[in-house]
Amino acid sequence: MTTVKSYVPILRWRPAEMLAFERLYPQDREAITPFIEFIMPPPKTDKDNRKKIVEDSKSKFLRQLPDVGERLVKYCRENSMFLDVHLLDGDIRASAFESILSSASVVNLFSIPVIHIIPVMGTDADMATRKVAVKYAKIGDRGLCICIDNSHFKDTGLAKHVEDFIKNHDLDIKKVDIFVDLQIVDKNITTESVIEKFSRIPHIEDYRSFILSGGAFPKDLSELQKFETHQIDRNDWKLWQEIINSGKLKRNPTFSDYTIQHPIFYGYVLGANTSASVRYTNDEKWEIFRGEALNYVKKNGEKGPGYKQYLAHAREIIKQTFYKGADYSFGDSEINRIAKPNNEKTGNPQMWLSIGINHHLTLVARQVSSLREK
Amino acid sequence: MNNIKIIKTEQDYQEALKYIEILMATDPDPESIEGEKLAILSTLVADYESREFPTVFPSPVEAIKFRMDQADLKPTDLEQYIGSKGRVSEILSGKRQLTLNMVRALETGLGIPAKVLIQKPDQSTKEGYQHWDTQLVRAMESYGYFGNKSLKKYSKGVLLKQFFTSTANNMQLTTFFRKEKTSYRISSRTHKNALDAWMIRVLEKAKKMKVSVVYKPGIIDVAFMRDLIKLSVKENGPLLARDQLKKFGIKLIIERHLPKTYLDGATILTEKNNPIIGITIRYDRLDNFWFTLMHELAHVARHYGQNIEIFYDEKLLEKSGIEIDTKEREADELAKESILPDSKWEISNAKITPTPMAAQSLANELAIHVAVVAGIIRYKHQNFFYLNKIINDDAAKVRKFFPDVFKLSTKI
Repeated sequence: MTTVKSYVPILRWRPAEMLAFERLYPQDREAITPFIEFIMPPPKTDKDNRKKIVEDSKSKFLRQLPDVGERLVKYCRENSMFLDVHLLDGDIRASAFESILSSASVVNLFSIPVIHIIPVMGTDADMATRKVAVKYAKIGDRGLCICIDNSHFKDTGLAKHVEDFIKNHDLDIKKVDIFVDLQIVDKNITTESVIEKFSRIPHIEDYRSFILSGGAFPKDLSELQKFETHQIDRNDWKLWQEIINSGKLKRNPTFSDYTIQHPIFYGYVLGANTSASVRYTNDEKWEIFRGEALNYVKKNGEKGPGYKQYLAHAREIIKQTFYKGADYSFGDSEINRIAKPNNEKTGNPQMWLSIGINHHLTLVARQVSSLREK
Repeated sequence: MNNIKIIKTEQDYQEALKYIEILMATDPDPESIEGEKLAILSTLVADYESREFPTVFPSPVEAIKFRMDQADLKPTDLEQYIGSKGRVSEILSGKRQLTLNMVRALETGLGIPAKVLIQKPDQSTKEGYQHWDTQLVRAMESYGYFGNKSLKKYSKGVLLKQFFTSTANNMQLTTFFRKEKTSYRISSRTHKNALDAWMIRVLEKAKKMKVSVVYKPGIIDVAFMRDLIKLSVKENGPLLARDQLKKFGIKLIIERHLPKTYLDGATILTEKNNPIIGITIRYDRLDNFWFTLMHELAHVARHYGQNIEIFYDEKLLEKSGIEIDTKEREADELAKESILPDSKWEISNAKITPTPMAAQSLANELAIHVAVVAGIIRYKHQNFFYLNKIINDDAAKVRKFFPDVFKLSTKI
């Protein structure tokens, strides 16, 4: 049976995010239903000239597409998951959607599917994508997820469009999820304004699940001073708590976030000189260890500390009171391993992103479980 | 016009100045009676000043520095007239006399009259003092150098002459003017007059500090300094350090630096039994105080009983560009080693990522205040933007422990 767990993180289809999910401890993975947002991969570039493209993004995606279903199963195992393709290029979106939905299937000894992929469809989705979503919604009990983002609320006929869509496609509302994505959650967004938005969705208690998503992590760390540690409020987490504690809703939404990523995906900057920074989620804030660009060269030609900064970050993190300990998650055990005095393997930006996301997923899954127990 | 008379005395002069001030405030028509009074008084004052304060040229170095200030020149700009960077530095610090070729080049190039460049005025006369920088003398007045006497009643020359002669006579400062026994780690723009005045002031204060213990050479080493700097974590660490040093026969005097100097501290080894350390707390920061103290202690440890008796130290722990000699290098090294040993630095995270957390970890390990460690980290990285919050934190201020030194008796 397709069920939606108590935490629905949005994970982009990239190795760092997916490995972070794969490496969750089983009890934490059990508490999560990932929302996988497919994005176009970065183009392949020349080894010696990172700005020279040797395979464009679309060609690369199409080349990898046949393996996607298998990889999805490997990463997520026997979990339900949401599958969103709205960020893929329009001309391949529907076909890629169908390809992934058809290939990612696992059955048990009795030929019963053990993996449940829930297609996601925005209220503004193109017809071809809708068609694929509806087709697969009716296979088994996987159902379908309707994603409503901030811009959709401007549509005064939103409620009717949603109701008509369900009715016209003969969908069972008990197998439809409503996913409200606020996208950027800054400190100015009020509980009242969000609750008002919810009020425009009729019969909210009848849907299979009702999820509230958004993210407060900055677009990048460029505005944070290097060689400083910074704290950023988890406004998305705070807002959700205020909403469920308000007592004004018939049904409380399930928590969803963009982990330690910005809600808007802006694509790739080829040849960008990434900084050696670490993002570590704390109970109410993100702790940011802002390093210097990995390939930084001083005016006198002297090279900066480069990847070694990761060693120093790890060694400082484990001394902090907010560090949860090596046994807390796979990510935390990795930080502890890298921090060991004799270790010289620094890791790279992708690995550290994965570490950060794995820690975040673990922490939030436990935060949400803890609230449910209360 | 009845009350206007020839100015014969200092009192007449001061009264005339006051009257001029009153008249100028009314902005009188030159044709009016008040306007005529103002013109006559101005003439009389000018006449008196020319008699009492005859034109005395500034010293050659002061003339060059004045021209540099006017034209916003750097020492490197003087190389075309004087020669190498080192030669310019020697001339500006007074270690070397100008040659005839330099005089000619400076007169032609910078327009400084040769008659100024070749003369050697005696600064210890009232006339010489009259040419001291006014801002400097006002600061001295404000810091209490002249006691109850003020510039309102006395001229600069009078006040300075009294300050130097009375103090020097009282203290028999024979070494004070022995420049060959003085080490200057100072900026080329520093006014040595101001350093001399500051040093006299420190000696005055040191004289009042009663210390019954005789300093034993050899007692200060890196272990002593490391123990001392651990006091930096205490709330009133600077005061505890002063008390601790007193127990070992060392006088620690706090005296703010004067304008036209960048002085952080000095070591004065003229008193046989008790070395004196003067610290200015030029920056109200713990790192400035403790590094300076360690540097001056290093002079006491390494250079006591040798040929140099006074060490002036400016711009310590800064990207200063001041050339330093072997003794200064030794003092720097010992000071750094006492705060942050190389063995710790080489394996520290702060060497790779100078973050506040890395600084704090290092401070915890060394058991000294994080602001002191942060100061050294910035210096080692040669980046003085790092760790600003720690360095400038309110909890890392020092002047509050010495309120008598940092209060002003008059406005500058």
